[in-house]
Amino acid sequence: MITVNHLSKSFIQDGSMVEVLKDVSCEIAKGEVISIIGPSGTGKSTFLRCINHLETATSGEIIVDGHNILDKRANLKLLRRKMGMVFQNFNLFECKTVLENVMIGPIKLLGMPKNEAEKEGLRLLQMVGVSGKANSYPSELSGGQKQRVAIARCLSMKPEIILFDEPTSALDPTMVSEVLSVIRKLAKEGMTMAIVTHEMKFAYDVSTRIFFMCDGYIYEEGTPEQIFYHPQKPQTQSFVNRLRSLQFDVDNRHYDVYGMHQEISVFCQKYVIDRQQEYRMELILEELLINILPFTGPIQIVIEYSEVDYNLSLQIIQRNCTKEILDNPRNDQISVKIIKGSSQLVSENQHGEDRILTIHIRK
Amino acid sequence: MRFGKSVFLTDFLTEMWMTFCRSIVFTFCLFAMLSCIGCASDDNDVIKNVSSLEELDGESLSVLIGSVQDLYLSEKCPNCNYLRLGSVPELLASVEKGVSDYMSIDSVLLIGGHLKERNLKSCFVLDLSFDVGVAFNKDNERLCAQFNTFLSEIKKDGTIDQMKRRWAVDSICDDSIPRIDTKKEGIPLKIAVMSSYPFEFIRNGEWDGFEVEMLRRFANYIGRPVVFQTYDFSGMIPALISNKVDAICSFLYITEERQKQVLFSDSYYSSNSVVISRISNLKKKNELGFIQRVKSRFENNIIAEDRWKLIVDGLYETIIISFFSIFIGVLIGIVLCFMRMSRGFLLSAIARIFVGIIRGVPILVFMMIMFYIIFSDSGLPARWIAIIAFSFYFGAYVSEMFRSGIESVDRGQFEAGLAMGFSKVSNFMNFVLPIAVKNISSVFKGEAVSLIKNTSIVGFIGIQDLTKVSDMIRSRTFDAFFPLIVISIIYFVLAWLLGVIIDKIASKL
Repeated sequence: MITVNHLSKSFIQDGSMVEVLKDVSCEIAKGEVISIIGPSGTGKSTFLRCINHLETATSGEIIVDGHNILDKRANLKLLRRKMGMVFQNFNLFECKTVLENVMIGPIKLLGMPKNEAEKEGLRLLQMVGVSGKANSYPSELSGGQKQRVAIARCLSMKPEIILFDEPTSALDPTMVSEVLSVIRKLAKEGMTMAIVTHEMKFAYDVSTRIFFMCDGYIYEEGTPEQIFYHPQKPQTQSFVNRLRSLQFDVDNRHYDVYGMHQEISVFCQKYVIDRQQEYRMELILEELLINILPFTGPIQIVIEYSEVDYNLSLQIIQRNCTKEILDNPRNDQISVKIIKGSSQLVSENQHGEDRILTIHIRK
Repeated sequence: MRFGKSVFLTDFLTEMWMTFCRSIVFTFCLFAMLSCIGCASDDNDVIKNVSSLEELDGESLSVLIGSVQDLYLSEKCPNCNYLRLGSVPELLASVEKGVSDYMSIDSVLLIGGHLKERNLKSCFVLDLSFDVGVAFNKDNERLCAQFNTFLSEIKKDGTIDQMKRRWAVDSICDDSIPRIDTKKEGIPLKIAVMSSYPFEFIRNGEWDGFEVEMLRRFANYIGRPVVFQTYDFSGMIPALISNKVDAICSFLYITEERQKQVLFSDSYYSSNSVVISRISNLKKKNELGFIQRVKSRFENNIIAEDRWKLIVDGLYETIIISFFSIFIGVLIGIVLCFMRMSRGFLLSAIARIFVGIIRGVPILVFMMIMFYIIFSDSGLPARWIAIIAFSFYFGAYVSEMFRSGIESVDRGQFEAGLAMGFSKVSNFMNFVLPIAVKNISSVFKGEAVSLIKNTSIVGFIGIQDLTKVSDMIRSRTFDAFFPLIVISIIYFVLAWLLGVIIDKIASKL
């Protein structure tokens, strides 16, 4: 239904050229639900906005039902009617009531008689659950209600595909689910949709295919199963596991250990890491730094936390070292016991001239 | 618009309240001024009975700004404390209320000023006499020659002496004045006048007075109709030079400087100047109560000689100029706004420069330039030149207002419409404009109200609007304040009505 070939888009920002989309090609077939995920600022929204020509692509082609939308002769207004768009900021018509918002398109663009449009509008509002607010103005609605009205307004044009541009990003967490459940309902009814979203669980549940966008490309695409559980490429892996990391470079004997503890505690608070895990990690670090690690060269400490499976891991990289760190007989055996007791999995290996110790902290 | 209604109501009340406050403050100032003036004189202060310039030197003295008395006395009595005012009624009021102790003026202009009733008396006559003549354009020697012949004839047969006695000595202003009908067809003789009793003034809706009678007779003598146009004193000679009028006949002294610019006829009158003072500082007790005083002033200023008709005509002029200026100004504003917002560099630059220039020039100066320079030979009536000037002025102001109104509308509104498949135009009309109108309506209202008040300067180019009419009444009745209060109330009502109308229109959009 929609074919995108070698799409690119550049902006001029502060006098320099920024290439947001480098080379994007994809195909969306009828009945598909595509979720577009990826880190912020990698052109997901721009890609979506290029599809219905709210942004003009720099080069490439976008073919909708056999018509290239970038062609100057294309009937843009007609092509846009086939593609509904739901915005992050709702963009309801502020000067019209909720009912008028869903009536104005059919009346003015599809030539629908007024009473029919009203009947249809009320039906759609009922479907998204805001029929009680039909005569209110958008400013009187909550964010979730606004977004559901926006979806109803989109449906009023009987589109063949709906493009969702981060539909829940501007919502309070309490209102996200009401909007997602409406989109789920649409997916069940077989509506073709392309959704830019940060709701991973939702994307996994609802999509038939996932595009992972990164650095202006569709970096990896596949079924939800493939992308979320068997990602092939490193950036996808790091993204889907939602790894958060913290790094310290200990480069002298008088390193500020208390400052490091302070930073770790802020990191743990930020990602709401379990108190037990945090305590264990601090214990391990203390034992390692005080009793085990001789300062023979710079040490790098990397803490990683996955927001998907809540694994907290600690990596010690000792530069220019070939000796074993943990299984050294000269170590204080009580300290080693404490470390092993607090961890789930300990592995140690040599990587060139560096010695790497990886500890997965027990949950 | 449920949401809109509450905003409408508060806006409406605020606007009404502000307009109300403004007019109250204005009226208050006036009353304060009046009462201060009343208190200014100390009862023990004795008025010297001066009879020469030497005795006058050092006293407080009111004169008309830029008048010959002003120039003459400034030189002879440099130690006087001068108060320079704009009209005869103000001069009289200043001495009567004790702001100054003396004033100097042409004696003939005091006819009808009821000196005795105002507790004033004439002290001495200045050695300052000027001949008075009609001024013509330098290229119009033929008309001047015709007038001189006419003048010598009426001098010979005694008509002019009769006229002088009737107007400047007896000053009986009733139906015993002979009616002189002029022709209706033909090219009218256009005469600039300033409206000063007893030379030219409006009585029962028609021009009358010494000079008016003389010029009617002259018009009949040359067989042409005649029309009179009021001008501000400083605007008369420019109007003559730019051929807006054929002659000035407004008690104009024949001076050397003026002779360089215009052609004077022979003299038909000799003026002499007098110095006036209060008779005593003892305040007269008012026999009448407040209500009765207001009533008698109302009758004198508004009812007598059908002066209310003059006010109605002035009001009509003010309304016509305001209405068309606002209407055309909005259209110009829309065009400028779109030029300014267009992507074309040239269009936007033109609009920016145009708006910048107009906003940087005072409206009075801009209107004068339009009247005396740009449209000087167009033959366009002054009213339309004023409308054009005010339209551009208003357009320049509202274009920026429209632009900020449109830019304040969230871009998402526009995108949502585009994404649905609306064209740019219908998108703008349906979703952007209503919000923009709502956003700017209260600011627009303020600008429109201030336009109405700004139109009070059109008197400078010979239009008899509400303000000019009040000046004319003042110069006839010698009442400095009452007509001002009446027209300030009318302006207030006008501003209020306009606010209501704009709100009605804005809520319809």
